[in-house]
Amino acid sequence: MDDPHPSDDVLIAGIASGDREAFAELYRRHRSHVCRFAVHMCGSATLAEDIVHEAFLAVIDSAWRYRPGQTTARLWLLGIARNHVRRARASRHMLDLHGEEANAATELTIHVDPIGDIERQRHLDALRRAVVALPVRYREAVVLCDLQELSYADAAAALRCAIGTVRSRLHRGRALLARRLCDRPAAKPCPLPVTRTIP
Amino acid sequence: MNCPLTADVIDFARGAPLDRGREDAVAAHLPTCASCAALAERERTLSAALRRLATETRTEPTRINEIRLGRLLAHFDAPRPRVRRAAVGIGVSLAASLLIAAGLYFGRKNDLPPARVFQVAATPSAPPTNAATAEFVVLPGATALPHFERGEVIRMEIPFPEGPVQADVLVGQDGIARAVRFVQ
Repeated sequence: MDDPHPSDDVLIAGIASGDREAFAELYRRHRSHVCRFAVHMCGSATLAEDIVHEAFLAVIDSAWRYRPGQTTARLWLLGIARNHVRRARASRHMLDLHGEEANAATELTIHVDPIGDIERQRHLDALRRAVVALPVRYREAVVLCDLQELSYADAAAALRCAIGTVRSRLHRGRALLARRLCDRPAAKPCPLPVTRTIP
Repeated sequence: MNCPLTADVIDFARGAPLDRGREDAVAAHLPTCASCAALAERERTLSAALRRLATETRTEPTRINEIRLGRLLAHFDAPRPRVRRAAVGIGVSLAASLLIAAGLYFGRKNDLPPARVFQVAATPSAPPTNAATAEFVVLPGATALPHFERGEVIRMEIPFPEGPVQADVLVGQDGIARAVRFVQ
């Protein structure tokens, strides 16, 4: 690895040919993206760490399969992570953000304002739980488009589906999120305005 | 919510790129439709909350991550069964090639034209005593029968109003008639 700032494609080609430094660099660059995706998808920091580990193990073994022109490294990694999330979901029950898992998940967060607004944190926790409770297809769209800030085209590439499908899943997922947040049995009123229909 | 612009309103509110025409249409529509205005407001609030969630869950590489990387690098350095994987790949390729070759062979064998079958039948081991005067005519449905391997020619008389007519009937190994030719 002579280039001080090699592209992701060069790194993955290096991994395929056995360059361990290339792998370390790719890991440092993309670990946080993959980890955030896994945390939001499975709702468990512990499980997310396992998924990240498995995903990067898969990178070691299947770097030769990467086709630079067809996708980007980030989308490729998210696709691998997505497969591992689905596999984990199939092999064991996905944990919800309760008890220890909830605490572990909050350990991942960076508290910019430690004195912070507790109410705001409660809203965020409610939102996090609502995202995890979404059906997988809608959760994937919300996590990729809203939390990972991917475009519809990139999300469609990661999910291997049409752009229109991503868009409709995202809209449906957001509607479900809004409904769940407003239906929660909290003393506080719904933080989101309720949609009214004109007669 | 039956407004035809609903989907565009959601994209507009969440800041997704819309083409200029649609963006202008939504901007002009919102002040006139209370339902869409409320939806846009709700989507903006939701987007802001999701952005906060995304920001707060952002992680930075830490010492723990380096330890995890160390574990992955240990796996990276470990000898991997590349040869075995290559051998499996070669084996699968060979098996696939054999299957394709077998498929082509048997497929072509079944597709032989019926004419070839009757070329064999036209030279029977025990030809009839009288010389044939015409070519064999394939009986209807004979081509759908099992492949013709061997058979015999049986001479028989077929009754006609003008009198009996002699014909050779080619019968296959299964006893089913395949073709006929009239002798007289």
